This record gives sequence, structure tokens and C-alpha cells, in this order.
Amino acid sequence: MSDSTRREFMTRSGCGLLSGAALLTGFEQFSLMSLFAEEARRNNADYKALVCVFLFGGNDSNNMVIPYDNYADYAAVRSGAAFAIPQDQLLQINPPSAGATYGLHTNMPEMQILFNQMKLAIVVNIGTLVQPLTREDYLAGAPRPSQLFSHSDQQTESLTARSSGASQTGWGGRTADRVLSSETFPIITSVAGVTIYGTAGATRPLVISPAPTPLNQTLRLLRAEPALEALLALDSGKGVPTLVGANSRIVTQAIANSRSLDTDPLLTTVFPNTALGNQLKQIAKLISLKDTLGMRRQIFFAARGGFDTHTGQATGQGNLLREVSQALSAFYDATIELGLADRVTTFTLSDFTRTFRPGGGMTGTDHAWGGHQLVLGGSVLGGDFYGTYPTLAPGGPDDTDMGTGARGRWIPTIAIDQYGATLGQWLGLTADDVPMVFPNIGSFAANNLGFMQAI
Amino acid sequence: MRFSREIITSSLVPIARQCRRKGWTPRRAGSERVDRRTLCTVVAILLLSIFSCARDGANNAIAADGPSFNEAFRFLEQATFGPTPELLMHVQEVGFEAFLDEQFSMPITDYPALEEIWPPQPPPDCTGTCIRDNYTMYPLQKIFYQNALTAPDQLRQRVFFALDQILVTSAQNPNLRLPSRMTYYLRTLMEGAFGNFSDLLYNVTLNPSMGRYLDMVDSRRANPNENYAREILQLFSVGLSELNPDGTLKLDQAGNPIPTYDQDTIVAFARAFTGWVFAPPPNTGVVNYRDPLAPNQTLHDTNPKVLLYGVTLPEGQTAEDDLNQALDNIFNHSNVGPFIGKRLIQHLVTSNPSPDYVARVSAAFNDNGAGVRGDLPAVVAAILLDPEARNEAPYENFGKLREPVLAVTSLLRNFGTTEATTDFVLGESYMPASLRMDEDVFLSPTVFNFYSSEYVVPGETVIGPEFGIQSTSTSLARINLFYNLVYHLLPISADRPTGTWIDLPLLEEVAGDPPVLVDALNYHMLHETMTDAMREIIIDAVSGISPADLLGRARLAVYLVATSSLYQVQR
Repeated sequence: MSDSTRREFMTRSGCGLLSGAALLTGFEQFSLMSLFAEEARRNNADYKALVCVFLFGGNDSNNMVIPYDNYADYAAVRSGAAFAIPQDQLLQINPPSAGATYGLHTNMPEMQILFNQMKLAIVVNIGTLVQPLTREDYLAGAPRPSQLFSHSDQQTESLTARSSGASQTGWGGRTADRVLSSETFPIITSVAGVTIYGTAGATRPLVISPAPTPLNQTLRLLRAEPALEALLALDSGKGVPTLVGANSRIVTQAIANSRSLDTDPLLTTVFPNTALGNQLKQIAKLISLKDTLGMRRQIFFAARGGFDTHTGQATGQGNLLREVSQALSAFYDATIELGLADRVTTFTLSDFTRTFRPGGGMTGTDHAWGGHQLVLGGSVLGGDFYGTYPTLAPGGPDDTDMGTGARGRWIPTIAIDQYGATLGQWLGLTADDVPMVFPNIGSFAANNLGFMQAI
Repeated sequence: MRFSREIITSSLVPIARQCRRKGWTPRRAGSERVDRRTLCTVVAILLLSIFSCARDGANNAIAADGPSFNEAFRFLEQATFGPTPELLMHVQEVGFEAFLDEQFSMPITDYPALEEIWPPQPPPDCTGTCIRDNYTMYPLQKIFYQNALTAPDQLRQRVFFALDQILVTSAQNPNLRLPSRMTYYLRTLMEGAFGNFSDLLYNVTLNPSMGRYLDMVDSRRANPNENYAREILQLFSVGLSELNPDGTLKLDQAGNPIPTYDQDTIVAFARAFTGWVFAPPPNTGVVNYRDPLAPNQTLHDTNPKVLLYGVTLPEGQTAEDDLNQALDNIFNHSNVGPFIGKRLIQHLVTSNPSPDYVARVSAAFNDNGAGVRGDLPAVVAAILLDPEARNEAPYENFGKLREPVLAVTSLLRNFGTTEATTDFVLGESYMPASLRMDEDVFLSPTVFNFYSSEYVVPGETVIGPEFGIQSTSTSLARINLFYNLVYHLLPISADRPTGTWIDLPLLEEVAGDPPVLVDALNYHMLHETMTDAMREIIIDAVSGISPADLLGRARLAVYLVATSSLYQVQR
């Protein structure tokens, strides 16, 4: 029995079982524990989870994944910027498909290690799209996502995978609707507040607070009263004013779910005490309860804000990328501890990337479009780029802008829909499901980008 | 708090008069509901229990055709941080219009003009309460809650709070965590709340906190910063899409929304807004967050710019001329009335106003009746006096989920919380984690506020902005906080020496009779919207507590009403 399975056994079995086991002879105890270990392995083999980490504000991925061999392209535009990373400080990576050396931001050594271990893939120049789009198409006025460059709209479109206008459901929620089976606990849990990502017809996300709040304190009604619940039932019924009913249903779900979260499992993995570290820690704890809760599929939502670096990017984004790298790495370690490294896939999203040409007195950048995203996990075909790295030339073949004022806002070559469909199929979406969850997927050549290994 | 029999008797007069005017008939025959005489007496006692000063009741004259108690109650939920016994009486006496006039001319209960003496980083000898008082929002949040709970200029305070959520800055930006900086932004909004929107937009644009928050300060022609240009258009004035006067989307021939501006417009405004820097500091070692930004012509882009409606700023203008004309261009866009009008309606009255309601308010924005555009008192009056707001039998989707701040202040004001029962330290940073509801005043996560004004309630087709922060987690935190307030459990500490709770001494006096107790709360918290089924449930629950534990009964009744969804939604 490996350490990780033993820990899981300890976590899953209650005190009663454990003390019962302790009374048995050594041999019997061994057999019993083997039995549990076997059950744990079988349950693990029937489990998959996606973890969305949203970088709110628009992460300048132009400063997260930088050409090393072709560093001159970067330096030509950014060398005068306060946040430019010198070539000798880049953390080198060698994606085979790109045929050149690139570098990660100085503050992401954990991501470099995981890339080299083939656990981390980078999907390059991805963004919101309604159809494949060249610069010529764009300049000729071809259909494009609504309200490009607006935070709220581009966030929503990234979370809904509907770039042509408003949608009331997220692609996480729609995915959950297709893969849910007999779960009584919500498939989707957010540790970063209410999000449209997790909302769909049948799915309402559970929202809990991040660590250090103990898991069994995240949803706790301090004073339960039968009459309080009776009033909620009354106010959920017919003839009740719309908003009154809506509120009642949220509280009712909260009370029901709070009864399931009555333990606070311990993990050995040490998480950084940061906003994102504490969110991912809570997710790891919740994953460790999957058998208690009877979960076979789960989707999680975590987020970090502050990426809107119009000024002060050197420190601002620098600190945030360190936090992201350390938190993602710790989370991956926790999935190893739980014996679920190949069963949990973590991926990033962001509003957009930022203008390649700096603004704000050369201390920051403005809103742009296609950027790079990280995908991490034991089932990720890592150590490579997916997609085509953009030509780093303002006014060049990938830019929306023209003329001397061109800023470098890359037109994506991969759609969010394709990214989501790849992840969703790994989780369990069938070929028939894909267009139901990603209605615009037919506009793009591939519905699977190939960065996930089927398991 | 106790009152002499004389005061109680004299103050009963106007209430009794009102009750007489409304008639005494029980709501329905055979009902267990107590009749109005009993009810009004109970309510009178309840009101008196929380009056902090004696009133000369004999002089209170309730106008025969004035608003009823319930009408005044609904109005005050929209116009203040919650009805208080005193204001309920007053509005019934003077009526809505006179009350608004009083409020519009009332002196400002303002944020302090703090001296600019604090350097950007705390000096080494500044620790503990020095940090708390000079490098966190603590002092300003305390003033916020003090004003919300006790200031006489309630309407200005409420509109201020709405504006602070529309024209957002946030101390999440480390530069703005100094109260000596943020306070000048709050003063700008407080003054602007009852001024002209054009002046407000100008003063907000040149306020140093806003300049820092959205990066207009130091934006220069060599590489203009697009941040302020984008957000002033998207969030502070015209919005993303062309609007009809009733707030609905204008559509093109293909049925699609029409963008109000494009990226080129953003760049043009960004260039128009270049050339502004902090004014010279009043003291050495500090940055001037007190005075408006100052122009620096050498940093200003003097090339021509094409703005909204194709209006062109000619070449060679100064930073001041470009800024003034750019703001005029925005202010005069036809979207501003419906855009700002609808947001103010959502903050004060209802999440889903009808197009006709928006149209009436945007008409008031466009012309206050004296030919003036952007007169905010006229807009606020139009919002609050509108038949849709005043309708006593509102449509099914009417109302708004009380946001966390309003939920707390409403409950406290319903029970007349005073300085004796609160230290006003109600900022979420100073609450236990289990009581936080994601609305820590002046600390919005982004310029998009704590929640989106367009958030659609999951599973519904209606908008519910405040539902954007009402989750499984925060909804329980809200109930838990109410539990703490009602049961006097909120932990105290050096930062919260008094704590905050509601006192129910005279409510206890009627708790021997659960139906009377519950009917009093129906009147006093729900302006008589409690259903019979709800009433039965609460009466049964309260009756389950020993008559010897009158305080326990009173608390449980208030806890159940306060945490009910019917109370959580302001209708």
C-alpha cells in the first residue's frame, strides 16, 4: 500500500472503522487494508475532475511565454518596458512542435519543472472566436466576438463559450449537465464566488469559501431552526415573487449541502498561504472526500484577480505569476498524494491577453485578445505547445491593429470552444454531447486539440 | 432604554390617530389575526422602545391624504438605509415630496478632509492602530456605517452608496488603501450626489484616486493608457450598446445590438485624456490625493481625435480643452439618461424596471423640467416618486435582493440601533470569516463593482444584480450574521469594543402572546406582506419556547422574519 493510498484510506474510513481495524491481528489488518486500498483504486479509476483557474483582469501571457531563440522579436517592442524579462532570466523550455526554445516568466520555476516532466502543456494564441479568422478577414469586417477588449464581455464569453452574444449558461455547467449521473452533491464547486461558468439547466454550483476556513466550516448554519427551513420551503413554492423564490432556492441548497460537508480532511501537501493556494487547497480537500460524497465527476472553479496591469505590471504580474506557479504546483502534488494525478486536470483561462506594445508610461499594457493558457495534470500530453505561437509584430500578420499606433492585439488561432471541448471530452463528453455543450464547435476544424490523453 | 409613561402616552396619540384613520377591521373574518387596534398599540409600544429621544407627539399631524404607514415604509426602504420609527412618522406627516425637498437641502454628513501627511508606505514607527487608522479602510468604513445608521441626510447617503458602486474605485488597489486618499474620492461623490451629473463626471475624472485607480494620471502622448477611456464609456456613462430612451437596446437592420463605440474611439479618448499629473504635494513626502489632477501640456497628445457621434477635437488643443470637450461629448450622448437612470433605479428600487419606468427617469435626466440636463435630484425624485416604485401591489418580478450592506442596515434601523448598541465596525474585514458576504465597502474586487448590474438570476429570466454575490456560502453567512445581531453574539475585540446588536426590551413585553408578537413584526419589518402560512409557521415556532423565556421568543421571531426570503427581498 502506497503512502498516498494509506492516507486516503485513513481519510475515507471513519474513526469507527479505524479503531475496529486496529483491534485486528496484524495479518487481518493487512488484508482489510488491502481490501480498502483495492476499493480506493477502483473508485479512483472511475473518477475525473476538471479545475478551472481563471486569471481575472486579462493575464499578459505575452510576458509569461516568451521566445528565447527569437528573443529579438520580443526585445524589439518590449525592451524599454519596466516589466520586460531579460533573456538570461527566462526559464527555458523546448516545445518540440515549435522547433525553438522559449522561456517562461522568471517567477514560474515550478511550471518549468512540470513542463519538462511532460505534465504541463501550453495552448498558445487561444481566445474567443465565432469562426476562424485571419487578419484579412478581421480587417474586412468578418464576424468576430461581441465586445472585444471589454473585460466583462470577454470573461463571460470565455466562461460560456458563446462569443456571439449573451448566454445564461457556462460551459462548465453544460458539461456537468451531460456527464452527471447519480450524484446528489453538486458536481460543480466554486471557491471563488458565484460564476456563470458553473451554471446550466440542471446544474447550480456550490460556492464555498477557500482555506484556511476548515472545509466543515465553509457552509455552516450557526442556528438551525425547523421553522427557518419551513419558511424556505414556503417561499420556494408557486405564487411567490420571483426574487423571493430565487433566494429561497439558494439558501435551501446551501443548507442541504452543508450537511454533507461535516469533516475537514487533512492533507500532507503544503500549500502556499496565498489567495490561489488557499483556494486550490480547499479543492484538494473536497476531492479527498469524493468517495464519501459519492462523486464520480467534478468540476471546480478557482480564480485570481489583479491581472489588469495597465500600470505597475513588473511587480503586479510578477507577483501574481509566482502565486499561480506555486499554487498550481502544490495542487498537482496534492493530486499525487491522493493517487489522482492522472484523474485531475487543471487549466487556466483569462479575459484576454494584453497589448504586446506597452502603454502607461512603459509600465503596463492594455486590453488585447488571443493569449496562452496552461493545462496541467497526469493525463496531459505535456511538454509541448498546442497551436501556433503568434508573430510578435505590431501591425503584423496576427495583429488587429494597423498603422504606426499598432499595439499588437493577436487574433486567436484557437477558439475557447475547442479548448473546452478537448477538456470536456476527456471528462466524459461523447461526440454527440460536444455540439450540445459547445454549439459553435462546428465552425472550427477540430473539436479536439489533442493535448489530453484518454484514460 | 426606558421612557416615562408620559412620553409613551403622548407619543401614542399620532399612532392611534393613524390607526383610527385606517379603520379597525380585521383583515379577514374569522382570522386569528389580531385586530388593528391591538396591532397598532403593539407597534406603538415597539416604536417607542427604540426612540432615542422624546418627541412631542401632540404636534405630529398625519395628513389625512398623506402616505399610510405601509406606503411610508416602502418609500423609506428605497430612499434610506432602512425605515426608522422616527422617519416613518415624519414621512406620514409631511408626505413624499416634502421629504425629498428636505433631504435635497439638508447639510452633508461628509467624510473628513483628512490631512495629507501619510507617506505611501507606513513609516517604521507606524504599527497596530496606526496602520489600522492610516493604511486601511477601517476609519472610512466606520463612518460609512455611522452615516448609514444615523445620519439625517439619508437620501444623499443612499445615493452616494449607489454612485460608489457605479463610479467605482477600490482600496484593493494598494495605492488607495490610505484613508487620507480615498476620503477625497468619497467627498467628491457625496457632493456630486445631488449635483449635476456633468459636474460629477468632471470631478470624478480629475479626482486623484480615480486617476490612480484607472491610470489616467501620468498617461502621456507617447503611449496613452486606455484604461480610463474604456471604463468611463463602458461603466460610467454610455455603456457598450446604443440604447433607446427606455433603456432597451437599439437594433440594426439584422436585429443586432449597435456598439456605442469601437477600439478606435477608445484610443481617441485615451489620447484626449493624456497630460494629467498629480497636483504639487501639500507636504513633502506625500502624494497629493486631495486636489484635482493638474494639466501638463508637454505630456498631452495634441493631434486631432474623433469621438462619439464623429465629433472631432481639433489639433493643437490644451489638455484642459480636450478633456472638457471629451467629457461634454460623453455627457451629451443619448445613452447617458437611460444608462445611469436604470442603474440608479436598480440600486434604489428594483432590479427589473419596466421600459416605461426607465423612459420616465431618463426623460427627467434629459430635462429636469427647467431645461437642465443631468440634474441628479430630479432623477432621484423621478425614480422614487414614479408610480412603478410607489405601487403598493407590485408585479411579480418587482424588487431587489437586499445587498449585504442594505440587509444589515435595514435590520438595524428597523430596531432603532443607536450608538449604545453599535460601534459601527461592520466592515467585512473586521468580521469573522463565516459572516462575510462579499461586499466589503470601498473594497470592490474590480471597477465592475461587487456584482454586475446585468447579472441574470440562475434558472430565471430576470436580472438580479445582487444575486451575483448571493451564493450558497454568502447566503448562509448572511443568516449567521443576522443570528449574531439578533442574539447579541457578534464577537467584540479591540477593534469592536461595543459590538453590534438589536435591543428588543418592549418586544419582550408582547412575547407572551405569539400572534401579537408576530403581527407586530409583520407590520414593523414587512409592511404587512407576511402571508398567513408564514405567520402560522412563526407563531408555532415561537409558541414552542417557554412563555417564561420572553426574550427567547422575541429573538426567535425576529430571527425568522429577518432571515426569510420575503424580508431579504426589498419589495
